[in-house]
Amino acid sequence: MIKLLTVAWNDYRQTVVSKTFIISIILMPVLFGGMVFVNLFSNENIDLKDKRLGIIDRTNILYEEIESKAEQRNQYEIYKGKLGDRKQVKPKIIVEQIFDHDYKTDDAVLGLSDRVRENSLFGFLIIGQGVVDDNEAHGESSKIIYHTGSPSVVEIPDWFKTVISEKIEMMRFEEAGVDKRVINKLMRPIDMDRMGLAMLSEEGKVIQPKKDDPLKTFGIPFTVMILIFVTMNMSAPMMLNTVMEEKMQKIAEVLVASISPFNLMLGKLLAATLVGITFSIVYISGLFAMLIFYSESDLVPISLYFWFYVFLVLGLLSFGSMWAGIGAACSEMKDTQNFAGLTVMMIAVPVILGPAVIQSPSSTFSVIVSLIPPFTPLLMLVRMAIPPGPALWEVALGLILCISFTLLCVWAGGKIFRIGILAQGQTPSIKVLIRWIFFH
Amino acid sequence: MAMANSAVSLEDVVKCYGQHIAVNNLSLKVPSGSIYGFIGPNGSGKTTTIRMILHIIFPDSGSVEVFGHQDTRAANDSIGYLPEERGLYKKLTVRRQLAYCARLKGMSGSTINESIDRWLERMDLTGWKNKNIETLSKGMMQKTQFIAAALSGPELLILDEPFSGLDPVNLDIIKESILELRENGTTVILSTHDMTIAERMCDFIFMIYRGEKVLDGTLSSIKESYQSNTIRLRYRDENTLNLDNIPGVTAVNNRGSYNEIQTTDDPQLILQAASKLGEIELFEIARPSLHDIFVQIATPEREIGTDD
Repeated sequence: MIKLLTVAWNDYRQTVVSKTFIISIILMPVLFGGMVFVNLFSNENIDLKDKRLGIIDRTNILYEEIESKAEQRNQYEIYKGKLGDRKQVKPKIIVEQIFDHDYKTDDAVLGLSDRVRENSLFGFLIIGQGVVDDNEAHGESSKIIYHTGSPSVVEIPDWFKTVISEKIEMMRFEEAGVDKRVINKLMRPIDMDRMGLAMLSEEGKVIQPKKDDPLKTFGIPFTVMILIFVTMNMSAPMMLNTVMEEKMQKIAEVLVASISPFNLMLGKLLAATLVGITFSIVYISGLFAMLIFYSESDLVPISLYFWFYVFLVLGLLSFGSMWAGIGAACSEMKDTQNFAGLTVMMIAVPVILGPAVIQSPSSTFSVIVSLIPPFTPLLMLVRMAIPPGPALWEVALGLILCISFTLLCVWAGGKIFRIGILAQGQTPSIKVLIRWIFFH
Repeated sequence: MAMANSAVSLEDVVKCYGQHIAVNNLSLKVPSGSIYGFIGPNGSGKTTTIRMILHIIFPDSGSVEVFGHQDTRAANDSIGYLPEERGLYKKLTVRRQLAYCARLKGMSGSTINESIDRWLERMDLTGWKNKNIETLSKGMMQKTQFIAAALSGPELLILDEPFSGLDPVNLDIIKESILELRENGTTVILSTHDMTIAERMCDFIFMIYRGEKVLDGTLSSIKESYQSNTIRLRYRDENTLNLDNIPGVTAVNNRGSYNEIQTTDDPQLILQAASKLGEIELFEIARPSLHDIFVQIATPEREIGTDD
């Protein structure tokens, strides 16, 4: 047992102080943090230069409204914070009325395009004469046409479309003799609250149901599933690499002279599990701290943390055994790819099924797939993360099947490891591996 | 049952890999406190035998007993092992590598560091203690691996080609260390292809050929049993002689300062017959070297290039 722990500690220490592990453990927060920072930075450093736009209003009735709305926008709608301490977060829109006769030739589009290229305009709009007509659209004259050299800036054309549409709507209502405020009142949508279930407390009092939270119903299950997936996928190369290194560098023979191959594999398995736990603790702690910070700690019940680690450990042990066996059986790293690909697929399938399970966690399909042992660590946990969770018998059966599967994997992995770790030459076929498992 | 003074005892051991018999009915006893030479051509079963002594693999039949423990790994903490193919963790420091090996042999506490320091000093590697293995030269790695095998003060030290790739200075350091370990009571199994070293260092020689024992005993007893059929002969005036005419002589080779004759007869009869031809200056029954014996036994195997 002491030797097993010695192997586990050696492998664990070797991994957690390796650059690869340190990079992988800090990479994700750095990436996420970086994305938030870049987002904030880009928001803070948005282009605030005034945007001058030319308007050709062929209706001759909309320009004034647009100009007035632009002034209103520039005065009130482009700032964050209170008056006196406000900060501009959007550029001003300056409009300039243009007439078709301003251009000697008929082609105003070309002339205005040149102004855009010369940077005296950001863009220009041509409001067709027919946009105010009630009739069905008839050609370009019933449209607003927006021209710009910066097509990725969508906020400005959207603003124009909203302002012009609202004005035309109002005109149409007035023309029809209908008060728009009445229409708005009649068309008001009905609100609906999505609630959980009421419960009885231990004292017999009714605990009122809480409002459903999309973060709780989708975000949390999805996050725990991805976290298990990432953690297991991170442990895979580690297990393969250490076993392959010991086999290829001929260290294995010295090791198995001191410790039995099965105990050696168990030590390595323990190390890989501890590495996975260490990796996940960093993220779980971050998640927990974030929930505390935003006073949302009740989003994740404490029991879910417990089940997360139960299923993570079972997943790491079962898949770790497979990877140990693969590493021992193969003589070259490239030979591992075929076998490892199969196991990675076995982890990836539940992630693909995850959204369907989150959508209908109690459906027969969800129950069945969450009871398939290689999928249980991810999918049963997903179902447990969605209130009210699976029935107790489902959890118990899933756990029994998953533990049995883990023991089977450890047993089979141990058999392959024992023979493979000292075997040289060609990588065995699946048929040979089966023979190693059952007939040696 | 093993003799009381046998560190290792194998009785009728058979090990097969599929249809191939790697070791066949092998029995041997390694006397405690001796250097026991393991020789044999590549692929003859040496490594398989060593692995069975270490209980890394188990025989199909027969028994393997080490320090009185039969067919278990119970004695493995008392065995140091230097395999033929060296293996060290490249990213570990020398100290951590050695400490890891020591712990796997059941050592603990401060004795590990004391032992590491002592051995590193002896092998002139103290300055490399905290350097990564990957920065070491081949000879340094070899010495580090030797330390890893000997560090825990094993009662039995199994060394598979411990001198390969070493320069003469480092070779002497390792050789002296082995002899000193033997002086301190350690039993050493030394597997080597270097017959000169085997002759100089080993108290007993064991040779395995095609999975079967072909030699086992002290060097002198082996040489005794392999009496040569070669006689070195020189006459004061040899120009006039025709040695082919001596009855019982099968071949004559002129070696410059003497003639080497091959015979199937009793050397005394050859001497009597040879003395009639002239005045003999040199008559010597050539004793075969271990190399000669090895080659004589394993000639068909000389071209085999893979180890078992």
